[in-house]
Amino acid sequence: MNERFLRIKRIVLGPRNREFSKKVEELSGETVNLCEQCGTCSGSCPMVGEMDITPSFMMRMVQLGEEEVLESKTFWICASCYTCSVRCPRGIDPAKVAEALRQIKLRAALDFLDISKITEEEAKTLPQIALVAALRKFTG
Amino acid sequence: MVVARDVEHMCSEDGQKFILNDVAEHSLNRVVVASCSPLFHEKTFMKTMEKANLNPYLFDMANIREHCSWCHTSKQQATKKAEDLVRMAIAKCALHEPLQRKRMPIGKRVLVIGGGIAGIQASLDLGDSGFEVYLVEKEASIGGKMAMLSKTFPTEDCATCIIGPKLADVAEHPNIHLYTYSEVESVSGYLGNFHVRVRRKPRYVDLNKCTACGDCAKECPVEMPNEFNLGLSKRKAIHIYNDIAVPHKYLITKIGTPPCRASCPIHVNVQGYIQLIKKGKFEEALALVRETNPFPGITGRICTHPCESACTRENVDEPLAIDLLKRFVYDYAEKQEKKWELNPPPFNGKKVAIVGSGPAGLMAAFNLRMLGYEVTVFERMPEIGGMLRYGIPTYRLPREVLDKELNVLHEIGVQFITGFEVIGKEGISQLLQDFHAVFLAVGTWHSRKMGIPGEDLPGVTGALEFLREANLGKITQVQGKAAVIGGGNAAIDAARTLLRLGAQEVEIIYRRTRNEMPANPEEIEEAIMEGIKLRFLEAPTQIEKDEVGLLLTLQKMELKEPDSSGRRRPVPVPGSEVKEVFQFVVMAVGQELESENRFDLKMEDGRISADPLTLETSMPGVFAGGDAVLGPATFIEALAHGKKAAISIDRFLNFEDMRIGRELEGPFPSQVQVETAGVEKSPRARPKLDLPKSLVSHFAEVNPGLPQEAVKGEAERCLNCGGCSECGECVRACEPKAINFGELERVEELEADTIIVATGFDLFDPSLKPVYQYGSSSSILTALELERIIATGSSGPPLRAIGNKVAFIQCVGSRDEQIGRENCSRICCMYATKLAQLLKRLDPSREIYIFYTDLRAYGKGFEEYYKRAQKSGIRYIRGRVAEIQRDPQSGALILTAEDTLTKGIISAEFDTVVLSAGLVPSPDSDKISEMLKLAKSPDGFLQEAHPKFRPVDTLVDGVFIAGCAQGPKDIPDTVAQASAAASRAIRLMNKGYYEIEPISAFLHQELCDGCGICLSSCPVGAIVRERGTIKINEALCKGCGICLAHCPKEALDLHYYTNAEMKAQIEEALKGKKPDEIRVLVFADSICTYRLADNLGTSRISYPVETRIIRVPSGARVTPSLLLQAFSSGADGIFIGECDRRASPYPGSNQAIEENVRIVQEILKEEGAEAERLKYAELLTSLLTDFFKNVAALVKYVKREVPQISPEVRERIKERAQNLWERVQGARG
Repeated sequence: MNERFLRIKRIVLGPRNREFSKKVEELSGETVNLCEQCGTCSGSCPMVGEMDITPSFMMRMVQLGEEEVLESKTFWICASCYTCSVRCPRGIDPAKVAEALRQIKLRAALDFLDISKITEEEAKTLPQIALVAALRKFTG
Repeated sequence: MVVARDVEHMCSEDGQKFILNDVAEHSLNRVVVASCSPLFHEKTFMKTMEKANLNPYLFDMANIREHCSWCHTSKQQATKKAEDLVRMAIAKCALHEPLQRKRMPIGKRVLVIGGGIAGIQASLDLGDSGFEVYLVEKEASIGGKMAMLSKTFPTEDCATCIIGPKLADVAEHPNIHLYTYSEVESVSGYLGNFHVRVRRKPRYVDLNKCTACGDCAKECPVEMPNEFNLGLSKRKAIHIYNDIAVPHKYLITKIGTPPCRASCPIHVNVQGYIQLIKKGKFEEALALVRETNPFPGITGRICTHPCESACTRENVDEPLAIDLLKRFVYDYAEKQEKKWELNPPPFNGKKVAIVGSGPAGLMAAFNLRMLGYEVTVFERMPEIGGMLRYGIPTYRLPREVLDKELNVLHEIGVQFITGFEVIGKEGISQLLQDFHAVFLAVGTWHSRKMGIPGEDLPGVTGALEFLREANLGKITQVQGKAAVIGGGNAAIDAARTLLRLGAQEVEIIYRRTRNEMPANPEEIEEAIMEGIKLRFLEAPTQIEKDEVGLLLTLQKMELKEPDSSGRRRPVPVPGSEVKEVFQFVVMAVGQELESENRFDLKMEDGRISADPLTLETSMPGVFAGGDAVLGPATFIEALAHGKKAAISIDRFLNFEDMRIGRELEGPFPSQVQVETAGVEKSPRARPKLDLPKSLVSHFAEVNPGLPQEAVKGEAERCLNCGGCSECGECVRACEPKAINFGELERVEELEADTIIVATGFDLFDPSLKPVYQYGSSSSILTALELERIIATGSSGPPLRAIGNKVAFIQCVGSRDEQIGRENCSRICCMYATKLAQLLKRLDPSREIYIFYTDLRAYGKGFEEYYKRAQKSGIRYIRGRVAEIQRDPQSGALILTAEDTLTKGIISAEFDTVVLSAGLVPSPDSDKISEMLKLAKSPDGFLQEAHPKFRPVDTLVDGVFIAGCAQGPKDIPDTVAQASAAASRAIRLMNKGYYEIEPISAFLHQELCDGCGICLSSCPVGAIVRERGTIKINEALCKGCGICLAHCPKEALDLHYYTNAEMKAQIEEALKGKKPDEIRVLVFADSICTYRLADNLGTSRISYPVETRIIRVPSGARVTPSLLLQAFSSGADGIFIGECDRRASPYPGSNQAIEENVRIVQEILKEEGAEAERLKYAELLTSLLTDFFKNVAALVKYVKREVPQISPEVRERIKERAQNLWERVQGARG
């Protein structure tokens, strides 16, 4: 069956969803509600071909408070090139939102990162941006 | 106070009922309302007072909203302040007296700025209503952007068809005076009294004579980009703006003096004659040259052509061969045996003597004779011509050409006396006895010597002497090896002459390198082609006699730092001498004037000293020019001096000023800039030089000139930098003789009562969004360009080809924070829908996609139109295009966007991409807003007075705005606003008067002692003395209050702001102050500052709560007496805000305030308080932050930076207020 035709999503607009949006807004410093879903970020993204949801879809899910967005690989494929941010007509920084999502994921599991403990195999398959994000938060 | 009531919505009918009831019930005779700004509702409540049968001026308002609750954050402190404000109002109102309103006359004249559809509609409405309209439009025709459109949405009316009749109506309307091709330069004054200066740009075509037949454009050789078609097509320099132009007349575009003409010392119209050559009009070209230069044949052969060095074409490939083109037309006419018909005027009785018949003298002779003077030229050589005959060899300038050209002078009656030398002071004195003026053009005929031993040996001569002898025929043969020392034109001439006289070998020895040689590059090349050897970095140190000839000792040189000439200095290399034998040596190391002080005139550096502007020498009536003044210079510079001398002598002999208006004589830098990118290269035409053969014919002319087949092509290379070339073809073609090149720009002054600003918009320039690659491909267009392409599509080949697969990109330059344009441009969704449908209809096979962010189809019929577009197969994709990529080989355009509705990424190729560019404020709006002091909205468009209720008013009384100048909108909304603005203007003007408040000065007669000091204080002269008594002319009085500070007895007072009322208000403002608090009083003028304070409140901008704002008509009303009273009663700081003087209806108020402030500041300083506590600033309604900054800074200063004023100091200030008058008089001197 075509991957597009999976179940229709039921969206809940409740307080829990708003909490998630707020958390991402706090962590990223971006007012995600400003996103008008124009698609400029997706059209500009050089890595969009490898992603499972487009950057604008990622923003939409954060806007609606859908925590499932954390399962996506999109923000790990993100190269943090900032093309989306310099072109966003609303002045939002989707790259920062992606970083916020990375941080939320990392904090859920990691307390401290010891680089010496990363095996060669892991280093090969880890998305590079994950290392950057983890190092940013956890070293020193 | 009898009744106090708390009412919500005081201004509503209900609220007002309370006033009416209470007045009746309690027999009230004064009313104070504490609510919003009086600028808002004062009028409303004053009407209520009238309804209650009370004089409206027995009323006052306390502004506790804009000035209190809206701008302060502490509820407690704001409430305290509100109490103060209410008490202040009550204290003032208690003293109010009944007053009657004043009427100001207003006429029926309206200035409409901008001739687009908004300006046109407003003008027609006003004209039809019987008002006089002055419609000023900067382009040559009215119509604006609407005239550029193909069809309009949603009805698809043809834009030009529907606007055409309106244009015609404007043209014929008896009440509308059209000023096209004009711009508003300045506006001053105020409602009912605007003084406008309009700059009328020259069309160079007489509107009364032009019939728009178009014969001129057919003949015009100059093509320029057609602005109406946005540069997509070309038009001629003389042109009509478009097919439906009103006025339907032609105009000429002159950009400026092109570099060729500007660099020519005599300003020959180079561009003009080149254009005529391009058209094959060789005779006309020659005639055009001869208007300035009587010697084209000579010039075309020997000129150093600075025009070619300046020619813009050099930025593309090579400069035009201007010199050779000029020579061609002369030679052509000679071949046709065409004679130059000259009509010299009869002699005017004055005689001029010219000494020297070289180029300077000959040019002066020609020009002076053609001005009517009797000219006699004295020449010491046997024939005339100077350097032309005795310096320049015949292979460069054949004697037949020289004689033919100079013959003209004989024909027009110039006298030549040859073989006659004018010597010394006596020589000149003798001339001055027989002639009215003398021009010395004797040249520099003495060869400079190097000063080395052996220079006087036989066989060694100077270059000038050598050339003269050779040209006289006195030297006919040279044998052996010859050396020429030097690197200028004289050296080359000497070397090539030596060769032709038989020398076996000729070597030019120069002490620098080829780069520094001053000779003409063509001459140097020809010399090398003829076999002359050039030796560099060598110089002779001595010459000795040898058995076989002359032994030269030559030393090698090397180049060091530059010397005074700017060229690197040659320095001898020690020990590098070589000795060589030559049979003949020519020294060509420079020229100088023949003997020092030849005429006993003042000299400068060995040359005759002459004023560079007029060429006057130290002796009155004697002028000098050419090489004698400049040192060895060029032929064309000599001609320039001849021309300049003729002008000077002409003015001198007519007792006119010789200096004015002569700055542009001589070469000047051209201001013209021409875009050269994209011009196809084409090589410069070259004459066929056949040098070894021509050597055989000895002194015959070497350069054959350009062949006729080459000249038109060469002339076509001209870029027409100056726009119109002034070739004169249009003048010749125009039957009604409507063309006048001499038309000047002029300024007209108009008086208007009201103004409507309708300056429209500009389209966003997409090159500001590089991701869309606008300009890199002819397939990427703006929507406006597409309008022109479609509009012109039926009348000829398309301006650009539109492909089959077309994409529209919306929101280009709108809704985009990255480029600082946040606003939506409102019409682009609809215009794209329209253009898409038009393209689809022209070719139904087209695939058209519109990439949008939101589709805005808000207006009447818009949604239905959008649906029609979808029905026709136009695809709408919701996704903002991120970028356009261009395949460098195929040129294909690839768009990338997300289809946000399915979350897929689109990457598709298109033939044509149309950018739906947004609307931006036009630079004219910016200019006008500054001129009229209009506020601008954050998006840069002009700000309306109130966003809901006053959409076409501005905060400047009498000035209205309409159309896209106020913000993006479509045509129906524009027309609606235009009619609205017209009706608002009519509303002000219709009664023939408007009313202003009876705020005028008056006299307490019992206090007045008739001293008359006040008489000179009023800037408008409203105070007069009649039969001994001082009287105030209320019709003239503006109610500013300047005069009040000039009355020693305080007998002069101001209605509604009397001294007593002001004092009471001030006291009340300071009464409630606690000892540790500070108070800053702000005296705000009604026009500007009070309004600014209101705006701060409306914008909810917080400022310190210690401020108390007191309204005054003008800050000048705040006399030193009041200021001192305020400080002594507890004020810690005072700020006076006044309207910027350019926008103020109160002339002189700013200076008056400055004076008052100065006086009080001195007193403060003297009494131990800081002068900085009193501040004054001029403000503009457009600059909100200025007011805020001033007030906040002052509060901060008195609160934190200085200690409180002590009670003793306050007591002293109070005393100073009593003896104020002596101080004031002293200060005024």
